[in-house]
Amino acid sequence: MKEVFQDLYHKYHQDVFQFLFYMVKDRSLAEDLVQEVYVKVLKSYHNFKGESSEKTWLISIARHIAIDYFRKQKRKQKRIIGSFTVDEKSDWLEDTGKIPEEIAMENEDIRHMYQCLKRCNIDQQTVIILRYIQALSIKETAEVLNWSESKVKTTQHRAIKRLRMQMSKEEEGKKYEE
Amino acid sequence: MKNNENNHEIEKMLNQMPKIQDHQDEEELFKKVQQQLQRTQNKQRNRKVWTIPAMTTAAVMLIAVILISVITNQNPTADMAQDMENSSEESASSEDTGTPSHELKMMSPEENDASRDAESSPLPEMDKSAPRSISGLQIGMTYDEVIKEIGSPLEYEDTENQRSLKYSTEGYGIKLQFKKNSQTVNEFTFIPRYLQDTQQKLTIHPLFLRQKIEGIRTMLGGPMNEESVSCFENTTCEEYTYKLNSKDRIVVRTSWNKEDIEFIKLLRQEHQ
Repeated sequence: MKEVFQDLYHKYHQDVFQFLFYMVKDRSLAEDLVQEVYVKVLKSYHNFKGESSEKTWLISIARHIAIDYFRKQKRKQKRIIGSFTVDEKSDWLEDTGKIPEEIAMENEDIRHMYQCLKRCNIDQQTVIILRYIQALSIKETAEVLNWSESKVKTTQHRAIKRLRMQMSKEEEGKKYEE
Repeated sequence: MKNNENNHEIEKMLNQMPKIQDHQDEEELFKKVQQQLQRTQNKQRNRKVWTIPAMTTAAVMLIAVILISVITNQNPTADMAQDMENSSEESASSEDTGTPSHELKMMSPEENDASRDAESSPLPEMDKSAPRSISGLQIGMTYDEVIKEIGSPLEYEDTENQRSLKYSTEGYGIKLQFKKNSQTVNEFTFIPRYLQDTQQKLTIHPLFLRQKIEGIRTMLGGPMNEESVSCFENTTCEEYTYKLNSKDRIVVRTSWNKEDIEFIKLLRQEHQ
């Protein structure tokens, strides 16, 4: 078991961690979740059929774990908010408002983009992270998401469009402020 | 064109997003993962450990149920000969009008086979609340005998083979159906909602005054076989049949809401 862990760790750990980090936008949370990824992977490693690459398999597990986490959060939120109506369909996540250190150190454009990324829905965010930050191919992204390549392409297209709109919108807002 | 340029710019910017590194120690991470794995495996093992006693308990209970039903079924065969002697009118005919009936209290639901039902049914040890003949009412009584038993009505109304008795101004609460060409009653019908505020002295078993099916349940006991029958206006009602003794039945019909009681009948299951 340890060999499997070491092998996967050396090959893919930073990829998986970075993916989780951008998904949940919090370092310590990503650290917890990456643990869960390994637990799940080691439990089901014998089920890995090699139909996809190890890398996309690992990242797809990480994605499921992140989504599970979001769902739990939403349930908790709902329990706390109680009678207030929480839009069940909404894909938006609560914004903790904190900017991770790593992002805060970057230039303003990057920080701005990071904030606007949050305005995209989860699928759009996922595709952007996979395609541009993880630098996966369309095919690999499709494998991770278990989507068709054309769905990846359209989602990517819409995500970029939305991101661009958000960025220009906020820029205008800033101009008015000035 | 401008859009595409902008898109390209955004894509370029996205590529500049900082690379994030995990600084956790590999060894430590592995230890944590291992611990978590063991915890989940323990949970699974615990679950397995639980299933064995649970299944044993289930098996024991199943055996107990079987034993009880075997014991209660022994009575009928013992009483069979006696029962057959007693009932000259019970022919050995095979078919029957056959509302699937349900014996009172503990007894198991009967099979549809009516002749077997009639002959093998135990002379029931009736429970206290439902004596073998209810408040002395019996199929085959004459009108006078019935009135002596329950008290005379405010008024009555006759239709063919049937006399309806009024005890409350609300309506006719008891109907007596007479056997053709005979003066004897072969079916009693009680309508509880017309028997509530009786101005007249009425002595009948409280069972027939129940207005809710729950009340019947508490008196006659647990899970009854029920049959849905069609009622007026395309609704369905529930009909519960209880076995009073080898021949007599109590049939309880609910209204469409399946709670209120429409009527309670005391009748004899005739063999055709």
